[in-house]
Amino acid sequence: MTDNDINEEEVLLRVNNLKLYFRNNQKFTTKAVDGVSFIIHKGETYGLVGESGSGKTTIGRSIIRIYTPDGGEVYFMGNEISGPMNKQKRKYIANNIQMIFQDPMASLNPRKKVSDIIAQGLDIHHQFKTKEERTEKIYAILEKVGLSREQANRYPHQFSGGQRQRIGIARAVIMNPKLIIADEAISALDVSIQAQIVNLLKKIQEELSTTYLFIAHDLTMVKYISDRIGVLHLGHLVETGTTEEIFGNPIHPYTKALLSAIPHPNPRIEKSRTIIDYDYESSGIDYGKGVSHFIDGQHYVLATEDELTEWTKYYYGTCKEGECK
Amino acid sequence: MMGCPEIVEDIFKEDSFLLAEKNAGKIIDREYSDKTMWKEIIYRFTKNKGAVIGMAAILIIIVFAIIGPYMSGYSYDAVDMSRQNLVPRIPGIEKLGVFDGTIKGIDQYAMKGLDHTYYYFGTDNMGRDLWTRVFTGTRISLFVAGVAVIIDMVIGVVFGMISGYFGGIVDLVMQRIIEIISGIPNLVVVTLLMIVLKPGLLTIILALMFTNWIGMSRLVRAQVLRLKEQEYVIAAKSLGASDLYIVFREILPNTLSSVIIMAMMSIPGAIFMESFLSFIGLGIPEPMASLGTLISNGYKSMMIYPHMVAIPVTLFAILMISFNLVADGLRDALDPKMKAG
Repeated sequence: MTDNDINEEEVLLRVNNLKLYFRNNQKFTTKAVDGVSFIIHKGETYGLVGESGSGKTTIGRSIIRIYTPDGGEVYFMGNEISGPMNKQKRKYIANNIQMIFQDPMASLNPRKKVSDIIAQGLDIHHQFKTKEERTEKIYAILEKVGLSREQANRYPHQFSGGQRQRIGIARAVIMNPKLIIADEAISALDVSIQAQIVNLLKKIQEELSTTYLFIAHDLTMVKYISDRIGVLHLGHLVETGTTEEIFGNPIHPYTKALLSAIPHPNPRIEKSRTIIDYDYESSGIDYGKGVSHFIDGQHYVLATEDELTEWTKYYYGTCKEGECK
Repeated sequence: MMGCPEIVEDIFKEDSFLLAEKNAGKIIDREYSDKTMWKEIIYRFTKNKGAVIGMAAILIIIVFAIIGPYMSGYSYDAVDMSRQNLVPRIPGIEKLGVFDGTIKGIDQYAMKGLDHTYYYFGTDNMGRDLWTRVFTGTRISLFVAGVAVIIDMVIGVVFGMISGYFGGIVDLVMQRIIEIISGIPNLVVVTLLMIVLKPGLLTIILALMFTNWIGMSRLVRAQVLRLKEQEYVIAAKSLGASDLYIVFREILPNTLSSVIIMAMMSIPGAIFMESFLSFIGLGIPEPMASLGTLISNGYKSMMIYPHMVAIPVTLFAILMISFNLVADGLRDALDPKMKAG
């Protein structure tokens, strides 16, 4: 991987060759994440896309250490947060990285008041001196996510899906994290509510200059919110780059297939939309053999030399001299 | 254009959009008030008539179990051979023709020259006051019920919690232990205990301790296995919560409703087990009384003096039905699925 044009100062999170396997039984192991490397810059939104089972959620959960990785390193602002766990590291992660969960119904404890759910992180790490300070913090965060302070003493079942997701966001934001992992944070919501929540996330990013790792499978939403995108398939990061690079110049056949599946709002265009088929088994591509190739800017593709020349030769426009055959 | 329905232009007037009810704006939003969970549960419990009646019956029986033995002035173990086999005689009610101390019109009390003596529930074949004995017996049954709940709550919940939460090899070993214990019949355990210990309350408690919590631990384990994969538990983990915090603050409150229901359900079983053991002679020894021994003794002379068996059986039945009603009511009140509807 060529990192020559990357300023180390700007890197918030660096994931290096991350591996995580689930041992189903003694003979069979699922390689959920198999050697994924990427970086996230300070203040940006990195979108992680891929079909279900591609390892998106697993990567997110490995970074925040819900799962223990089987290999590879994760650095947060130059500090390693992978490897053996201890209390200090746990606290460091909790204070800097937070997560927003997919299911707003399941991610809130039905037996707890909203105020106690939001203040959970403060309670665990004793980050308040007086009761008043705790209440103040809860009220401030409730207003920030668009809820009212009267709602602090209610229970999760008294809220709608969008409101519950706001509570989930409040729980993450109250810790003032530098990185928020939004694990399919909008997938379970109504489309109109999705826009509200995405705009809320953007607002919070502007105010607190938070960085997002945005995990999703809705490509239009990812295009809207992300600065850079990583495309995952079967535990491999097949292509990564800025949103323009990925959407304007997709190189990997899987990315092309994924982008071709986006429905178009205009029914006339939608009628003539062709879906590119992609089948890993029959494509002859072996992700294990591929290495990350630098294209341009921040655009990288996982491929072997031959595959890369094959994929780039039909491309017109941005391809450089000598590459087109 | 023929055949087309006439198009009526919609004209909205000022009063087109009015609230359906005159005081619609003043409806108090009860659904969204800050009602605590327990208030809501009590509200739902009191709506259930059967459960309330059961609760009242249990409370009355508890009161009588406490004060009953002191009411008649007789001790539960005072043998008086001159007063054996008396039938119930209650002041006031005797004038109605029931509980007047007569068998087939012959006044048993007058025969023995006890004109001003009243035995509310009669006496047994040793001349002991049945009123006192029945309520001392109820005390023991209720005590066993309490012990059963504590055993369930402590051993069952802790065992199930550890087994379910930590999983893996811990779970494997703990579940095999449960299988071995539940494989031994209850009666065998009690009989074996009898070799070492004298029959009595302690033996019954030990027998309960040995087997009574297995159902509870299985229930709690199943709940914990389900709950520990919930996103809110994962969320707490990602916030850096310790295992202890997760178990007590996140998982336990969510299992509480089923734990309470299960504990209530186990009470009738425990009372029945005590009565059963006493009935077959493995329980409370003479002259102590429990509902089981009273039924066992009364049953021997059931054809001649039916009151000796009828009274403890009636009380026993009321107690069992009441606990079952309360347990059912609690289940309905605590079931979160009811809330959604």
